Amino acid sequence: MCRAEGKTKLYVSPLSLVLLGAFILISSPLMLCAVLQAAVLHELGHWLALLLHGARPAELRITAFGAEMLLDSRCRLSYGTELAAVAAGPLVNLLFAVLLGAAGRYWEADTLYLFSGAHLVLGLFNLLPAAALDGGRMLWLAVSYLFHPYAADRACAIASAAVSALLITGGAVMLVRGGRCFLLLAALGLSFPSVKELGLVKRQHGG
Amino acid sequence: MPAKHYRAAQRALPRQSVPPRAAGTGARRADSEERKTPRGEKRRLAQLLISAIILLSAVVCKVTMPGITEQYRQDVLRLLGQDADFTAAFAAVGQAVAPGGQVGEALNDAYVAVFGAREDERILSIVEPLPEKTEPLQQILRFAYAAPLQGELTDRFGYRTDPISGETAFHYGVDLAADEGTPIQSFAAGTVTVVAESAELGKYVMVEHPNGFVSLYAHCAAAGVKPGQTVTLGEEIAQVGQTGRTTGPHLHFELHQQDVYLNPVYYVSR
Repeated sequence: MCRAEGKTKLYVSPLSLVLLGAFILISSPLMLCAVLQAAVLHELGHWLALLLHGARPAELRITAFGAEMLLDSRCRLSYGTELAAVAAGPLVNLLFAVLLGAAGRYWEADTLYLFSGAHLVLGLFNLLPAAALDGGRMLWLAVSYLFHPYAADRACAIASAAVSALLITGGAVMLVRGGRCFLLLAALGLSFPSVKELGLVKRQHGG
Repeated sequence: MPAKHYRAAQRALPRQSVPPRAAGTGARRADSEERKTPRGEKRRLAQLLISAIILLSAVVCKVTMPGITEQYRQDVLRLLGQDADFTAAFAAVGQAVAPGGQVGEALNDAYVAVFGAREDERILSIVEPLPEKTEPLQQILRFAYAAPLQGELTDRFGYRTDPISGETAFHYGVDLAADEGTPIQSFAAGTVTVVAESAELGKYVMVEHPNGFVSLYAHCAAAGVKPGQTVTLGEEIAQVGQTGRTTGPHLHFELHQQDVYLNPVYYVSR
């Protein structure tokens, strides 16, 4: 058991509030609701998985790159437990994507399709094997369990760099050919933690 | 589940080499924030306060000045993605995962929403202005659909030389060649609104779909449905024939949105 003593602390980064403000301004209310409910249920998935394993986060951090839950340093999770907790977020998204999609089909409601789509996009995006995303952490855990944490660090850094490079290339092509820069912006945002990750690995393991 | 314990990884790794955590994962340790100083904390609180004011201002602007914020929103969206419609894209993706959903069609809709409509090259090569109430670009249907039959596309939407009169005239649908008697299936779920016959279209059927879309099936040999009847996607509604003004057995298929004639080619050909 690694239940944190006292209440779970909440940390909100100033930049996350500014980004939320910008998102409120540029998105329609419906889109805002769709994305926020998908994000909240994603986090609840992680939270519930941790609670089921007797762990409670000591801190919930909301940053520009999303939300993350921190455990007390005395709390040790097995690989399996942590993998389950990490996978729970995207799994909840995929589950809701199917349920809301089915409800949309039943009631012929576009709004439900929109909510379902938000879950699917968020869930799949989080499964990308990049630093700061659930997929990256799952990759790290798997390689660490199978080989060694050093190997996991390298694998995660390489996968992050590859995903970032792919997305940046795609974003650049889209910008040049169609004048659309949203993918490039998202890719640059995602590559930030990836670059940090590469730097860490270089420093720790000598490249 | 693996029995190996996370503690092993903790011991093997220097503290900083533990990678940043995925959103919501549980392994990062909370004690990494213990280096806070009262001065640093004050500065963080000030930053938080300013950010909260920015956030609150955004909410207030959105609620109290919807016109102005909408104008700026459109400007920013144009800058970010031109005419990308993320709401439609997400809705299309949602349709793709719905049970019984048609993944190909839904992803096609998502593509159109994000990257803009594909263009039928034949339409673009035409010099004459299009007739009123015609839309050559692909539209997002937001419902499941399928081609009414698998046949060769023999005539497209747009200006053409009329095979009977030899004059240039606008063709408001697509022609799909098929043997007489081939079943014609409903393009999407809907309600039959018209079953009739005319000199031009021969025996024809019209089906009303969600969001004001209507499909029309002409030159049929026979119709198997009645007005008011509900039909499902792919349900047989008629058979291919050569009634009306035609030179051979085929299906003349049209797609309308309200009173606008759409180019059906995007939905019937691969």
